[in-house]
Amino acid sequence: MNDVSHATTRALVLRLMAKDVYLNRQTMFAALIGGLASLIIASTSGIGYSIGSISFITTMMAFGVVLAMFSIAQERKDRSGMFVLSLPLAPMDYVRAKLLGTTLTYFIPWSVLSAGAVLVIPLTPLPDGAMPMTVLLLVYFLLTFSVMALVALLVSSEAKTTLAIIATNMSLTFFMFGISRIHGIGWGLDRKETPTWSGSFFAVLAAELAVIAITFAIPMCFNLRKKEFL
Amino acid sequence: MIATTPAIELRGIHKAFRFFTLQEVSLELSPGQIMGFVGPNGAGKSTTIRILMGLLTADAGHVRVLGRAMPQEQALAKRDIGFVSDDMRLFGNATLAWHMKFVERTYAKWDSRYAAQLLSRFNLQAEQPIKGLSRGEHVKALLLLVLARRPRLLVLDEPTSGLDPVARQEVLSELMDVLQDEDRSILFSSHNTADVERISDQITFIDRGRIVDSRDKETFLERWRRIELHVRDGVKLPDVPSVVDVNGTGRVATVTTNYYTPELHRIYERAGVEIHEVQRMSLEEIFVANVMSSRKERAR
Amino acid sequence: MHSPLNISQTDPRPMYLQIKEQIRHRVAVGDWKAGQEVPSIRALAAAVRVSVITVKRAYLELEREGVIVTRHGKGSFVAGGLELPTNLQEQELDEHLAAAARIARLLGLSDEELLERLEKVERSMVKK
Repeated sequence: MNDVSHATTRALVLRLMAKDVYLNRQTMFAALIGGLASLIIASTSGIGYSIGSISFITTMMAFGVVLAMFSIAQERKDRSGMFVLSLPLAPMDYVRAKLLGTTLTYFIPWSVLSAGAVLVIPLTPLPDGAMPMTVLLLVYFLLTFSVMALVALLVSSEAKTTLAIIATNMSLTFFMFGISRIHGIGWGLDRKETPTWSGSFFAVLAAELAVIAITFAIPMCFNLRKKEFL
Repeated sequence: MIATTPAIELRGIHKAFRFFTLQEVSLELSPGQIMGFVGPNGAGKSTTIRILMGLLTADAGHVRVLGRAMPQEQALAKRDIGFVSDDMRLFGNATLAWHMKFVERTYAKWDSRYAAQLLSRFNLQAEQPIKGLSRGEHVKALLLLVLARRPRLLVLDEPTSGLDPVARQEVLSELMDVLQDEDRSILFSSHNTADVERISDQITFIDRGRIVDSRDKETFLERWRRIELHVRDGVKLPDVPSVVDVNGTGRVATVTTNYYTPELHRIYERAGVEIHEVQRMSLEEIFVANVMSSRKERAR
Repeated sequence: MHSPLNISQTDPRPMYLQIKEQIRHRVAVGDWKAGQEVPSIRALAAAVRVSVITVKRAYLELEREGVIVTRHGKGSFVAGGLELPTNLQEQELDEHLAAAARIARLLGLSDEELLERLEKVERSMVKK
């Protein structure tokens, strides 16, 4: 009996994840278009690069915020979360399904745009030596998203969630500044033309992936003792 | 009579919030019955319903729904429960048809023919996006999704709120249809005491976090009476234990009793008080009188 | 049997009483024919949109009044015609006989003595 119920719960979680992707299809499409347009602009002249890179970063961050606020927090506010809770699952299954579903929704455009960003670098005025830092930055987008998603899921106060979202977004600037100072990553004034994948690069990458993994592990592995899910 | 597992069993539920506490809430619904759950706003109806659905965990007490402990076994229990709450919403960015397909894939039982009938009875269009639905249509959509699954237990929090009279009658018809199967039960909370009075087998009154009274409807309707008395000058009204309210200080007094028996006539006659008229009370009047008297009791 | 009942909540009479009277009316005019099976409690409740408990109460009282007859294991039927409530009367007879047998035992009467007494009573009834 237990195997059957686990299988059905898993099937339901998968269906809920598909639902998240489906319901956010328009937002995903907008992010994809915005991101691709930014990459195209960035690969043009010098000013184009500045405009393109800023709008690329904005697109990635905004997409994450919209998903965290509108897909997750909104479901609590407008009570469609209640509909999901009426389904045959435990509240923690709902948290997991929502986290996985929203992350999948972010991941699809993110992976396309990240691949695009790395491939576009040879076309931009940016030296190819900037590739490692770019990769770390792209992974940082994913990191900020998973943190925002987790907070939006677990914190019922809209004010606190907004604060967390602002804080994670601000941390991007600090991160960029921080890693550019690390000798093995930033390309400094010598404007290297070939990318170097140094030990520091892999260390930072590992740290980023670890944070993302932990953010996922919290609701997936622990049955958080939340007494109210509304 | 073979003892059957109650459809819903709540015992001694306690739940404290900052400004409100649910106390000593006990409730039992037998299979094949429909229970009307009545109470003023803020009395604790929705809280009780959420506790029995496993969405809230009580501080103390025990909850069993369809024989399963809640909230621990809620994933299993909810396979056979249809829950609709008037503050519940479907996904705005999808259609009713999408939801029907979603529910069909999630549950073992889905009667597509019945679903189609309900679409026309409730006057809904499957291809319409949810965000375009009015509040009443939204509630009807939610009801359609639970009814077409034919679950063993229906838990409905204000299922007819916001519905026009035609829609309300349709919903009541469908609910009564559910009970043709004596294995299926319904718990519904409603402000519409006329509907509750008409279709409920059992009625539970709740006020300020406490169950005020819970028994079968016919007993309620048979026990409560409003009696108009003719009190002659100088005659004092006798103190009758079943009388919960006395109104009027002149020659005409109206008393409300929660346990009417022929004995009452003798008591009043012996005291020299004439019974002018005995009136039955509507469920709404019973409810108000019951709540008022219980509040008086608690204030003492 | 296609004359649906109409229960009004604005009618001062309680619902179970309305059901009883409307059924009696239909039996009296023949819409519900003598010997015909009455709808099940739940079916009628659903058709009239009134609680099962109310229909049950109405049926119970109609049965006590002899308008409906329940045959054990077979269902409930409109009384009348050849099927006068024989079952009810037979039950009543059995109850009386059981009481008589108990008293006879207390008095120490044998079965033959009890039978003799019964015959004596019957003879006296015929004389009247």
